[in-house]
Amino acid sequence: MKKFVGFFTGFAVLCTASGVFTPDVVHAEMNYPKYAVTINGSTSGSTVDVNVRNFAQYLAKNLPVNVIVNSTASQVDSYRDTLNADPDGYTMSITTANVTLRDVQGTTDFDSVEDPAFVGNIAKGGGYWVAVTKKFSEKYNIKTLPELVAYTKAHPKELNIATSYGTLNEIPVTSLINDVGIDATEVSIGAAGERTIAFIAGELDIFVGTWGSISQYVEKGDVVCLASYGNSRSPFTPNIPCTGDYGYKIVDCATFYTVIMPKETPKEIIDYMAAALKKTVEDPECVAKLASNSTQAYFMNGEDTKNTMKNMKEAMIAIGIGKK
Amino acid sequence: MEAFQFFGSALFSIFLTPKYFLLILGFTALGVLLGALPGISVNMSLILALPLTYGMDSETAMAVLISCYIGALSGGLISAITLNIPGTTSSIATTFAGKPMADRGEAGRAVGIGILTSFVGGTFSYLLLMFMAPLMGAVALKFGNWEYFSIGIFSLTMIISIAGDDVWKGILSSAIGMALAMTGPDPMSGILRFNFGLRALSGGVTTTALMCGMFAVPELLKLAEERDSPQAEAKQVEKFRGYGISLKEYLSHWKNVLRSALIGTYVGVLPGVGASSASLLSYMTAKNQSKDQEKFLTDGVDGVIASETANNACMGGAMIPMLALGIPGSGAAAILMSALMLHNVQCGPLIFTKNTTLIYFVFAVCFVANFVMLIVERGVLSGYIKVLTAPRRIVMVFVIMMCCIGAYSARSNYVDLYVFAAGGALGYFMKKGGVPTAPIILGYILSHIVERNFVHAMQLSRGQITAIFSRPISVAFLILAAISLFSSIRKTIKASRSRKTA
Repeated sequence: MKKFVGFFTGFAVLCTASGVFTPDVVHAEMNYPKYAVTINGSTSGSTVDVNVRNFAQYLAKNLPVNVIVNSTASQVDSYRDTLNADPDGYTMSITTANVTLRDVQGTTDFDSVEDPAFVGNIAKGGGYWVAVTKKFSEKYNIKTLPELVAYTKAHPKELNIATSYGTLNEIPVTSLINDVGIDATEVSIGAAGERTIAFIAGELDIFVGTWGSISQYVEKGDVVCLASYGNSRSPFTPNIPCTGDYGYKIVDCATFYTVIMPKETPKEIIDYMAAALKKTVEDPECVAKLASNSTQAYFMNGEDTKNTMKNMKEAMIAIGIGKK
Repeated sequence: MEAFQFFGSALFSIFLTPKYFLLILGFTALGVLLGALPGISVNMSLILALPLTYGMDSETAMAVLISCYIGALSGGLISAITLNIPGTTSSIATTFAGKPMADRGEAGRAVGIGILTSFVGGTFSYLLLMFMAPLMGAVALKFGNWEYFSIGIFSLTMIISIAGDDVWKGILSSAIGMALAMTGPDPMSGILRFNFGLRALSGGVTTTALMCGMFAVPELLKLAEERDSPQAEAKQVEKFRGYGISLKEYLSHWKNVLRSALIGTYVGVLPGVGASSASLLSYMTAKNQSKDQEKFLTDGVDGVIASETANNACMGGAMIPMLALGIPGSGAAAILMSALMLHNVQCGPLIFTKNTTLIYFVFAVCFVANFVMLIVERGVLSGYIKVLTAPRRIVMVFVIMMCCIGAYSARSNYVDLYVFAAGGALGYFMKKGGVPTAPIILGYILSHIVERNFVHAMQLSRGQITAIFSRPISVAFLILAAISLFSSIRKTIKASRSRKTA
């Protein structure tokens, strides 16, 4: 018995010592990736989760290993899990500015811009559209965004415009009011589904939301889309003018899908993964798959991604998002 | 005529394609198993099944998810009746509806009746879904924030009806539930309330953790107190045949069945209200409408029928706004919708013209899975009943373990385990003090609906509360609320006087 205990103890000490003194494989040579890479996504069934899974299928073709997508309780949890993971390149997360929003609100225990290493950006999702119902359009004779702006200036606070305090939707609505000049009463309705119901039911005058929420109603003719929110037209609605077409200067708030790894991840690994991401974003099949979910494949390198998120965070703070 | 053609074609494809039928059979059974486990909610069952569908075509994916959903929704009644712990939030009402029968040794019969009436409720709502989805979707648009608020107030007034003998304790219990619901982000501003500076509570208190704690822990502690008594050992369960009720006897409850199916379907159509509210509302309505309320409480059959018919009817109702409006009627419908999006199917008013074949396939799956649930759940019932013959001290430890897993899995948040424990302690002391626990859950669920919709409605009305009176549906529900409140108070005073003179 004593011999057994002695042998076992010695073996355990040897294993521990070999683990402590063995240099990291990645510092010895670039032997990456050797096994499956895990992407921390978002809540199972959410739009982000769907897009991440779609993207992962094509990313796996550009890596010599499998890609595993891990659904988490929230994007914040996904971010945190990645920040706390080993910096070996096998864990990353793909999340949106929703995490930055939570950071600005003070509900995260990390800095969404300074704490991670940004690998890149793979997509630009959602976007926002400004719409009114057909009944509204006929009643007030409003068919374009400038006509809506002119009406609200002539009748201040008469109309209402829906936002959702504490969500990314707050950015375009605030910018439409402050920068474009829509003089309407801001009402916080809640989730996208509730806003859509209130809008279709005629309780809400001006809708600002995603294309997916209203596309079928526009096609049916029940809703008139006045403009897409952005400096350039959305590829999903090339026939609908954008706020930039009318000369309005707005706060850009596209839903970027950013890819991060733990901060101490070696640069060679980050560069390798960035190259794989870029190749995947350029795959026509991947582009088509993302487009089917109203998401545009869009690549930015790590540095540009970090700068973009930094600017977005500053814009959120300037707007006072989540503090109304 | 065309509808029947498409539907018939879809039915044939299910029965003639072994893959579809086997998947429906397998995932309905899996759903029943998951739903029967305390702590595993219906949404969680779907979340577990969802990743399996990513590589499937849209029809196969829908067959898997809908079967799992139908199985899980109905499976919750098994643990609600046999263990007095709801398997899903939609089975909360079944817990106290089935308790009298379980105490009499008729747990198996109660579950059998629940399975049968779940089938009937589901079939009713799927028929409405198939033939009247666009029309009912238009009805859903008539319900705005003021209407939801009024329905919430009406439901709150009915708490008195399940408060038991001491109405004030029932009101206290529901007030505690409403207070707990205020933890987390404010519905308008998103600012955190009552989280005591803890980030972990920034999302509020989850229903699963609270419900599991309040129902499971007191049962375990009660067992610990009674460890030397016969109650700590196995429960006696009487044998029964079929579904525990003859066709004639079941048809004698037709009014309750029809009313509950209608309540379940219409509540399901309203996004954000949910199956738990539907079953509670149906149970309370059945109790108030019962000619002999004493018998209603002691017999249990009417209560089980009301609760289970409504919660299964809710599923068809929830799919109506999902398909016809592109707005999910429940959390589970949101998951179904995202699965459709993954397969490039956009829900909304044009889905019936753009994806006709798929839509009728979905309807056919609903009917087939519902029927499979009827057979499979009855088939596994014998196995579950055997659980009751095992010593309860062993069964309860397993149950507590499942509840902990369920409480943590909802958000992967360790604080939910503390909520589970705190809810358990609260439930235990409430039981000791004779304070009913059912109103706390009801107050918790309804508080979200009432507060959120009141705040949004006031914003849309520019702060004019009188706007509620310009909406006929809201006024109707407020009148019903007033009648319900007056009626409940009158009954309470009458019962109190009877006790004094007795």
